[in-house]
Amino acid sequence: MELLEVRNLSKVYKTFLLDNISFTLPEGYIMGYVGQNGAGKSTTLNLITNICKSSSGEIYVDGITCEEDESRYKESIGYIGDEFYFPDNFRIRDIRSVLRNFYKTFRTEKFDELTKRWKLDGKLAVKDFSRGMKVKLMFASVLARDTKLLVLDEATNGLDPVVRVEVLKLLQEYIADGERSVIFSTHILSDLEQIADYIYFIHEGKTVLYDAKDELLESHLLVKGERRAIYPELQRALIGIMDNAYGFEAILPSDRADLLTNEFHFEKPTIDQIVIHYIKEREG
Amino acid sequence: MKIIISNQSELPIYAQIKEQLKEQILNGQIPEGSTLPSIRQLAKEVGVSVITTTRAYSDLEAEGFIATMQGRGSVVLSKDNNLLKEQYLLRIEEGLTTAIETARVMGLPEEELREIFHNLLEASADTARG
Amino acid sequence: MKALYFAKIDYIKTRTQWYMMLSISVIVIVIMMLNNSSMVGQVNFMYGVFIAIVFSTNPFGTCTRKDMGFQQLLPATTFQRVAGRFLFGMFLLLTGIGIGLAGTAVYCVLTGKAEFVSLPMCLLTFAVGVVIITIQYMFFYLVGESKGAQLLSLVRVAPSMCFFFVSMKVIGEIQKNPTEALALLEKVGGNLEAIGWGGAVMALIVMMAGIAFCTRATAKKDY
Repeated sequence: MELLEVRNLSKVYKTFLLDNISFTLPEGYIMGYVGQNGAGKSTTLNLITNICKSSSGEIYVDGITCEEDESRYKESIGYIGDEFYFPDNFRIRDIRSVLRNFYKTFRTEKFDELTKRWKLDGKLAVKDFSRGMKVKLMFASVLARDTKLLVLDEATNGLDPVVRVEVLKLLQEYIADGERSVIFSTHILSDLEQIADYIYFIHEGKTVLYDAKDELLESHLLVKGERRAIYPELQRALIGIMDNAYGFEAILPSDRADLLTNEFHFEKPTIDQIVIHYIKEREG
Repeated sequence: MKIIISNQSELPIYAQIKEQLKEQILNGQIPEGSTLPSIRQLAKEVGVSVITTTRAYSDLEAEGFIATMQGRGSVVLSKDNNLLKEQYLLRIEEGLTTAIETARVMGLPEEELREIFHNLLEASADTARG
Repeated sequence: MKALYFAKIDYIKTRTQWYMMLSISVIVIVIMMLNNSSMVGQVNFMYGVFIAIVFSTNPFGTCTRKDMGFQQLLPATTFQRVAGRFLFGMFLLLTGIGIGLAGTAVYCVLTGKAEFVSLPMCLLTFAVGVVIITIQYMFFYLVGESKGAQLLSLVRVAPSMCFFFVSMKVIGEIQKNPTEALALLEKVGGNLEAIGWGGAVMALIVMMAGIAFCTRATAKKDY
């Protein structure tokens, strides 16, 4: 079953247009929502969490839209943002009591267990927490209740590598039962790349690529060689040719590999490399 | 059972998992009849995506190494199974072909190659007998 | 129920200001009593309302973009969120009034004077307070909740100052010309009580309309 379904989603701002985004994310999988800063990643995620209202299009989470049942829709989503969203002067116990008031499935024992395990200081106002503690607190607040979809907006930004690895483990545990899904946005893939099942790549509000990650990796090659060796047909097939003093680097769809003579070197690309060259191609 | 994922490898991750499992099944490190971890379990442990491990398992299944059964998970099949036999024969042929080709390159007479083969066979039988 | 919880969030957010408000109220009322002027009860009451109006916009001031996001994430309707804010304003008003009355009671006990508090006057002051808070909230929801912080400093004191000076003027007039005021009272006669209650009810209706208005104004707004 599809846990998250986005249909023809658009959002019009004065200076930015999120243009006709559509995708589905089945139960039990992780999607990486990729793009540069300002590409529209946060906008999309804010529309999913209903923090912002869409201009057109529909979003289904676990089969319902927010209009159909706002409470159930929001209960089923756990959101962790790049900005810490709890009010500055709150302490852990304030957050706990508010969450308990609002969420039917909130389990205080679970919340206490997590905050204890992560050594979050109950005496401090949350604004005095470190970035790592803030992220953990957001995780605790979300994992202490039953959600179906985790929405992470640049959640691992500014975290040290040790905490990043912990977060990855958390996400994989979250989807382990095959009934819950994760969508995360990021502009630095590297560590998150490995655990993502699907990649959605947007640039300036428009869809560039959307596929299973393994599929994307296999359908592209990273090609290197000397610039003068490129002949017209290959030139047309190459994506985002980037020159340096001694040669070039570009992406080539794997099904055009027959165009490569032995003057060229090719290897399997990373998602980052694919993204960089596609952006280069779009921006000329 | 051990799986090591290398980012330097030219093989895609699913293929790395598949090859390593295959290797361990063929050399008996993973005994027949044993149950492999579930797709989601493996993804979590190795830190790769679920689709990746799914693909590795379905390839192993297609090649006759494992069978996935409702409720029992993925079980390593017995070596008597035909598909697997083929895999073994393929490996033997591959190994022998390499030997023959090497012999040809160095100009080794056929007789001597046979002799080496026989000697090795006996030596191996001796070690097997202990 | 969820509206009440939103009011609670507002309370936690403005907790420190809340303590400040209580202490300011107490100080002001003590000063009032030391001055030993007439109509202490009425003036205390008015002060309570005045301070509540000043502080009622606080949740907007502490409302940055990100904690707006937090409130939007909570499983509740826009109406509940807005109603919570108005409830918070209402609690402030009642607290202010409570302090005013308590101050008067203390004054009466200490001085041994019997202080006269006119119910209709109180009702009308309350009504004016409710209306002013409603107008303020409508204004903030119209410009956007999170933009409140910048605007707040500009407009916060204006309505409460107006309220303060106008009511001081009225009380001053009454103190200057008690006979005229009495004559006016005579004229209105027994209707005074009715006017007071009517005013209070009207104010509550205005507040309901305000809630509806703000819900509409903010429902389609992004945070």
